[in-house]
Amino acid sequence: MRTHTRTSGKSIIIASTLAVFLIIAVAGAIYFSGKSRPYRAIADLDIEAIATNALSIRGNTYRLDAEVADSLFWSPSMGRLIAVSVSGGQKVLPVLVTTEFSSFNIQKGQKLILLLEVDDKGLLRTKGVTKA
Amino acid sequence: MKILALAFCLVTANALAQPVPTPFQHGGKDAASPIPAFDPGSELVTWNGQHWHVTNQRLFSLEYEKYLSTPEASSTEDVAYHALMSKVQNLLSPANVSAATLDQAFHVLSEMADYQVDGNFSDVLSNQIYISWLALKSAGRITSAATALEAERKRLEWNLQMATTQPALGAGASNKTSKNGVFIPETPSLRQATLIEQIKTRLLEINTLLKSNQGKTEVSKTEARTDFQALLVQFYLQRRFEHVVIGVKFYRSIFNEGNSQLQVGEEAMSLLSKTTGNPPSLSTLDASAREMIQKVRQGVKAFGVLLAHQQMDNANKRLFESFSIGQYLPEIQLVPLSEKLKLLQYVQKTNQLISAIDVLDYALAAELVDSLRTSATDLDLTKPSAAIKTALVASDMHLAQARNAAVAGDKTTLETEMKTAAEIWPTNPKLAEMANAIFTQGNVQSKALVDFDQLVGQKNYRLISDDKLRFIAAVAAVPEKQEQLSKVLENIAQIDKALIQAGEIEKHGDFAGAWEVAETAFKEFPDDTKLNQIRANITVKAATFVNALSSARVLEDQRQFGSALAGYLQARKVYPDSQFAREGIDRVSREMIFDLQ
Repeated sequence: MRTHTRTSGKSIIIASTLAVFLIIAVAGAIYFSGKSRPYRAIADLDIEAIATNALSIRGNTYRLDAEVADSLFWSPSMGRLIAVSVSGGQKVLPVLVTTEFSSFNIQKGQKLILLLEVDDKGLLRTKGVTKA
Repeated sequence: MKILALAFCLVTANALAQPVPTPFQHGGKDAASPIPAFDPGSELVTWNGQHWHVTNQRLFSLEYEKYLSTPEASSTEDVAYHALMSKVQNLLSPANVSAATLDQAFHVLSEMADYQVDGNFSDVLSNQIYISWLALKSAGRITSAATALEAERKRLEWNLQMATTQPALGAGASNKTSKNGVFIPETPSLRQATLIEQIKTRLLEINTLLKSNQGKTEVSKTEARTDFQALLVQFYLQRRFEHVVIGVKFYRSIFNEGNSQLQVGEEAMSLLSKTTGNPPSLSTLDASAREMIQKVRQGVKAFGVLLAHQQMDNANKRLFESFSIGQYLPEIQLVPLSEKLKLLQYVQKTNQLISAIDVLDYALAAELVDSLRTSATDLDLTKPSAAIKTALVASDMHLAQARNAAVAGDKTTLETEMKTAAEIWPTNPKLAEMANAIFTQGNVQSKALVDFDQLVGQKNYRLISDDKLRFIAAVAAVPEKQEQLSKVLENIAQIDKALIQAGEIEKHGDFAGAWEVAETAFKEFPDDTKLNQIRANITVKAATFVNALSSARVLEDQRQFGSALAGYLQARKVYPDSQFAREGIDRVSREMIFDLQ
């Protein structure tokens, strides 16, 4: 009888320990995964709004996961105008990579995480550029 | 020819003896001279201030054509008259002439005067003979003549009695008797009445002559001779040649003269001298009259032969000459109507030909020449044929020049040439055709020009192109419209080229590419219906691309450069080769950058 009681108590301790470890692991994973995604606090860009009426969201800042599709225009004073493919290649949007990111080496097919602001002309200007 | 000229002179001199209406009554220097003058060199007769060609039968055409359409003088009366004429001539022939035959001839001459065909010439001659006998106090002849006249009177009275009391021949015994037995003669028929009237008239003349002769006591021999000669000349001028011959015989027997100079007026003397070539005498007058009779006989014979050989022109000349000389001779009067009708047809055709050429109706003239060529083998048609051909060629040449002027739009030359062509040959069928064509073309051209202006105003170049042949013809004479039409056709050619290109691209499934080609053309020619239709069809097939592009354009216009650029980029994604998308991207990109700067 005594043996049976001793075995049950041991099992409970082991299970409790495993549960604590599991909880700690999940919490750590959640913590670390959130910490590696840039601009995670920023809202994702409403692509449809940009395509139809960008002025309606001018002044707002958004986050966008994109792939460089083409380089459209370059101006030393204004920066580089590029086309990025979004939504798994379904849509293409223009983005002005401002001069502050001129040192950033942008190449076709490159995946970027962009922090963008919609300016007065409805153009997306970069406020932050991170390689994905 | 000399004979014919003489005949003409005789006819005109005869005409002088009777009142002849117009066209000879003209004034002028020659008007004072009643004697015609003949120029053998030019074959022209000058009379009363006018000139005629001696063979111009139109001068006598009425008389001659009337003769040609008159039946031959073969009635009982004509035959009897000609028999009496022969009898007189026979009685007075040198072999038979005697006092008895003279009396007998005088008696027959009185009988001849009863016939209408005689025209009272025999009566006039018998009067003159009687007066001459009186003048010479030829008691025997006067008694004989008086006896002849008395016998004639009795014969006429008997005839009158018979004519008034006997029924008309063939009427049967239809005289009626009244109830109380009184004989009632039947009312005379028209023929009977005419006969009675003639007999009465002649009877009155005979009675008057008998009374007159009884009253005459003395007549100068010279006066009688002169009167007789004047009468013979008068007969000669009136072409009563048989009476001339008879009269000369009587004259010679009465006055016992072989060949005496004629004592006639200066003008008659001149005429006779010119025509006979000798000073006029009884012998020359007699010989000339006989010659005329002979000429007529020969002419009529020649006419018959020539007619049988279809030598209508010469046959006509011979008969015309004979007719002109001896209109009253039996040879002329007895020409069968069937033969004269053949000639009449020919004469009418030749007169018609002359008239047709006179009035410049060359079509009719050509028809007549063709007809005459077969019916009159001897007629020289060289001159009319040449005149007709020359006129036809000249008229057609002017029409050709008018046609060229019409094509070149030269209205002045067109009018001038048409007028000249009409002057040469007014009834030219080609002239009428061309005038009609110009009139019709003018209407068509005017309508086409109105349509052209209307379609240009509506920018309906497609319809202009579809009917381009009509408009090309219409604007041929309007240079400013030509330029306009040329531009329209160039545009349509450009549109058609774009449509063909779009069609080919569409066949390969490249709807966006086909749409771009159609859209490019549409931007330049937005009013072309065919282009619009094809563009609309392709737009449906390339809807995604067209929507993206259209949205981009709208946003660009609203200066939403970000959205516009996104639209162009989206369009390019659908159709990577899009020229419109590429241009839009370039344009908006630059715009944005410069705007930002």
